Amino acid sequence: MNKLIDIRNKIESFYLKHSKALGYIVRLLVSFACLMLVRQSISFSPFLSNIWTVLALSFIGGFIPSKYLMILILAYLTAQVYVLSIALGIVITIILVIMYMLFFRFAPHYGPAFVLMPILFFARIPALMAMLLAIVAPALSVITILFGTILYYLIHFLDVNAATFATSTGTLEFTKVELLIEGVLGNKEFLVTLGTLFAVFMIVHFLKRISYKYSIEIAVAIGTGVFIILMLGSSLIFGTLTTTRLLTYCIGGLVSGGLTLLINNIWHPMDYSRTEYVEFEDDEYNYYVRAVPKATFEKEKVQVKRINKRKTL
Amino acid sequence: MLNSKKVEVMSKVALYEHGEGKETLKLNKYYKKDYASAKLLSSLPLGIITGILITALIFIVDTEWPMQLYKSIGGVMAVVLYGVCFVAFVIAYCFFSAFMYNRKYEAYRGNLRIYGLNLRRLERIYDEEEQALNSKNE
Repeated sequence: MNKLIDIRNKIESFYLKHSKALGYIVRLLVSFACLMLVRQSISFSPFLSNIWTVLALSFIGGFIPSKYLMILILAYLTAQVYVLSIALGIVITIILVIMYMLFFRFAPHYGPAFVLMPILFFARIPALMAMLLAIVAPALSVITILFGTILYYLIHFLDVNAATFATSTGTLEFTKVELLIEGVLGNKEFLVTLGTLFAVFMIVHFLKRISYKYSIEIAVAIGTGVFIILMLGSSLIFGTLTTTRLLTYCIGGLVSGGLTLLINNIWHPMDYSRTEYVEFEDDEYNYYVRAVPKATFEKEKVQVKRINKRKTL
Repeated sequence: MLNSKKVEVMSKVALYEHGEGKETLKLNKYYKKDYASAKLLSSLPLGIITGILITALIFIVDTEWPMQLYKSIGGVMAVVLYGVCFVAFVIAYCFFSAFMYNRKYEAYRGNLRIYGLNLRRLERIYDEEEQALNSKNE
């Protein structure tokens, strides 16, 4: 624990020293990772898929505020889809605009979490974002998880069926749209993942509020278990369970849980051993307060005692 | 001579005005109810646009479903049903906006209070300085 706090303090002091430069670098890396993921999945335009274009856009992403980063990445995604099919581009635009109007207009600070969801899906650890937001954000932020999942499956479906969409130029544009919508909504894995992440978020969010020592750790452990059980159970029911999936869900779930705890401990280190319970009242209420002190770490002060004085010549 | 207290308070005020204050100071012009009402009204056109977009998406996703509805309950009833759903959605959207902006207002109010306290402290410091100057002149 002391090591974690030490790491946290070092990161904090380093960040405070170079906060501006680090902000640019983090935004640049996030935008580069997101754009590369989109490029790898759906690269229909040679110009947009050019690595120099991606680098230039990432560079722009580094210098714009993080709430506009989402717009840059989604504009890139939509532009790639427009090259493939105008009708598909319009549908993707409508879906993204609806998402923006329904949630991100009110909470633009969840934009980065939204665009990071496909990357976490790609890394097979989508539960990480669900559990992390469940701990640090209000219940309404579950919408970010749901919209992020929809975004990933849209990209995934376009990626898997890219050849079909590209070759069927003679067919009506409308057929492509039907294929996309039916493909995503008819995908059982998508619906199961959506339901599982929602359940994991809600379980972790409500369990961490229980007045009990290590409530966050317990909530994350149960959330991880629920994620693995639901994903494996649904695969068993639909008969799609393979060794790869078994390993992906188990390892992905455990890594997500571990990373959530690690990030949480670095972010908000708690010292449960010094928890205090206070009761008091005023005219209107009785207060039962549980105060958990933040864990602090002080470096050992080493005093060197000289036994023999140096001889001076 | 520099007044260190004044410098400290002024720095806090300036930091707030250049950071979070850029957005939150706009809220300071309104009472909570007025702010939420203004946002509710401004959300109306956006709610209508969102409703139209959702309708368009439903038509794109399943073209047969609206036609089936038209055939089963008749043209007038289908239009009335659609109208009721549309209006209900727009009202729900506007109230959701008001709820979200209410929360935003609450979240920012704490820091706005601290900003107000700092302004009052600054005013007091100025008054004290002025009094000291007047007494010196006399």
